[in-house]
Amino acid sequence: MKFTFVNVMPYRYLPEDFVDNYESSWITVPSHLYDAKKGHQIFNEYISQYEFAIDAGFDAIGFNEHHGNAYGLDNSPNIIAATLARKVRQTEKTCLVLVGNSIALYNPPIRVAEELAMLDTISGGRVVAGFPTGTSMDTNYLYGVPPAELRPRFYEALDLIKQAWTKEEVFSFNGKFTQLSHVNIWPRPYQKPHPPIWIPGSGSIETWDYCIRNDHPYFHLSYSGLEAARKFMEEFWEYRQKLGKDLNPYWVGYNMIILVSETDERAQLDYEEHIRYMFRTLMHIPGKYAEAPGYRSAKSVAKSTVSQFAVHGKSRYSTKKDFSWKSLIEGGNIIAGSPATVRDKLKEIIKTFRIGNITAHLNVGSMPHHLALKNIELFSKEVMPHLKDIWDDEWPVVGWPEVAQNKVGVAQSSAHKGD
Amino acid sequence: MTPELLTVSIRKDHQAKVLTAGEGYPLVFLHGAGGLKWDPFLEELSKDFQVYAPYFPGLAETSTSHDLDLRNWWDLVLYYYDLFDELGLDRIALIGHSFGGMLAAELAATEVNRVTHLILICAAGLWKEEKPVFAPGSMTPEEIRQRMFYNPDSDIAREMTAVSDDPEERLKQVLEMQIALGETGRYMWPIPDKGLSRRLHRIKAPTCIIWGKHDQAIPVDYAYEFQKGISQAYVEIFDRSCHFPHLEQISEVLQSIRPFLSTNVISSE
Repeated sequence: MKFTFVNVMPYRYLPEDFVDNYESSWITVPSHLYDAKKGHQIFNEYISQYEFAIDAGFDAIGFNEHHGNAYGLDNSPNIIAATLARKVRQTEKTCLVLVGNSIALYNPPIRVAEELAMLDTISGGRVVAGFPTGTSMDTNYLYGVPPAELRPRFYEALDLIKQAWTKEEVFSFNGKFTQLSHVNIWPRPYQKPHPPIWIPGSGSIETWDYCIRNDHPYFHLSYSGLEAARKFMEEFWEYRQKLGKDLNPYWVGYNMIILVSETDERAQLDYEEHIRYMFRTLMHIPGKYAEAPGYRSAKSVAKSTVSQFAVHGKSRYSTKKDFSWKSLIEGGNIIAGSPATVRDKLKEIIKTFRIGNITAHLNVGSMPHHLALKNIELFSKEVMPHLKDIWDDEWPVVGWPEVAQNKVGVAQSSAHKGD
Repeated sequence: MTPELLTVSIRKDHQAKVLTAGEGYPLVFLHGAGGLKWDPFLEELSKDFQVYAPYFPGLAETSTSHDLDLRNWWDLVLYYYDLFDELGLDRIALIGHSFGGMLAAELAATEVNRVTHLILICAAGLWKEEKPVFAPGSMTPEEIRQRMFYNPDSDIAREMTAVSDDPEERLKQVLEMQIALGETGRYMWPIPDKGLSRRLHRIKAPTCIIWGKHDQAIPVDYAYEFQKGISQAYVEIFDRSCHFPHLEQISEVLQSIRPFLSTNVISSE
């Protein structure tokens, strides 16, 4: 079982009346609501939280990419990761998970291949590459990619990056979106053939199909609760089985907001207002921005109920109206409580959904620094140690750098060497 | 009159669809980003002309830009000329509304002799920094009714934005609109300026520019921008219209374009 600490780096200081008086926390959030001094402070606090998580023994620290918004201030995951790459190098096994490199946005996309190769070089082979298609807000509205071109651009960029990392000769690439006469990456990635690639997504069947056929772990990005996740996981494993693939839990990752305190009651006192700020204020995004027409295939739109909401102008990011502590816990949008409560809940989720990776969001909403540190500490001391061995007697680790391998995986690879 | 739905095979394995009705001089209508409906304006035109209204690639289950490997604006322009060839249209009157206007102007600036006269209705395609064109994106039928019609409570505004009560039918409607916006969005996003201003001077066809005075999507200033760039162009502004003057003030618009079309049909023959 692997745990990655993720910090979406929220802007904590939007005003109380934001939801009533402003259109959106993304795309049109006005710059006068941003305070540069506070920004300076929280960026450094957030980097300290990553350092603290490294010392606390997480398997990895993870980074997102978002643009033009207050929800997550990390525009460039590679920059934040770079500030931590040397510290990671000095640990026994901590890796850098670049969850969000939005490769469809960069031309030529080999820039991403180069930066990740640099991080892999500095850290000595500790990098996991995560390539999402990206939100509609980020990619269509803020970075100008025509919605219907996003996925073709994404897959072409992915193909180019993989070739750039693996081909030994200089080659030319004549794509629809990128043309290069000489592809030649220096430095080369430290890992051979290249850093593992995870694909984060929010449930489109085209994406899983790609992941399963190409042996990439799939990361389920959603805060939409346990019922939605249960349905997704059932379909995912069924689909893998149908394609004749194994059921190794490490093929799946799940994003979770986890809030730990001394007791269940104390957890509510500590975190309620901060989590409410996240769901109510930071995710205040109107439907028209949540999904530009063409962002998903007609097939995907038809399959989901989101299109029904489109009629009423509601966003899939703001369909939930009840942000009460009770409702968020019951819906499984958050996992919160005493260490024992959180342990039991996570254990059940891990086992029933067959999850090998959890990306734990432990700094969320308007949480002050000291509270984030408390959450990270309690999670790493009181929760993680009780869960970390799940699966490791049965399944080798897949989709991670070599330092993260478990005993099953080591035994299998030495058996192969003996062949 | 119910229009005939022509299925045209194009570029070997691909399929286009065109609504057609009427007899006479061929008149091609290019619809806006929201999709194609056989509306009262097309019905009226079909009394005097042979109207052809092609569906944009990907709409009405036709081959998409992706299927056709149309990668850019230039590929799209040539696709439309291939379609005109398939339909045997050597000389046409061309009308374009909104996104369709952007496309119509480009076609008229490309093969300058095929388009004998051009009508642009609230056309996209130009960009003035101080008067930005409404960003294309998701709009609900209700938002379209409220923002794109001068009188949202008029019968035509209600008719054009009606949503079915049947959930399945409604989903189908939403999907069709999503597809239309997504497929046309390939050529407009994020700013509907693909260099037309540098080519407008090539247009030889006499041009009639129709605009709603209260257009909130593409402000009326753009009517004059088009006029400045085209050698033989005149502007007609309709003061009780927003983005759909040809529907909101149908009789006035027809009164204005009928003489224009007949004059130019005669002069071109």
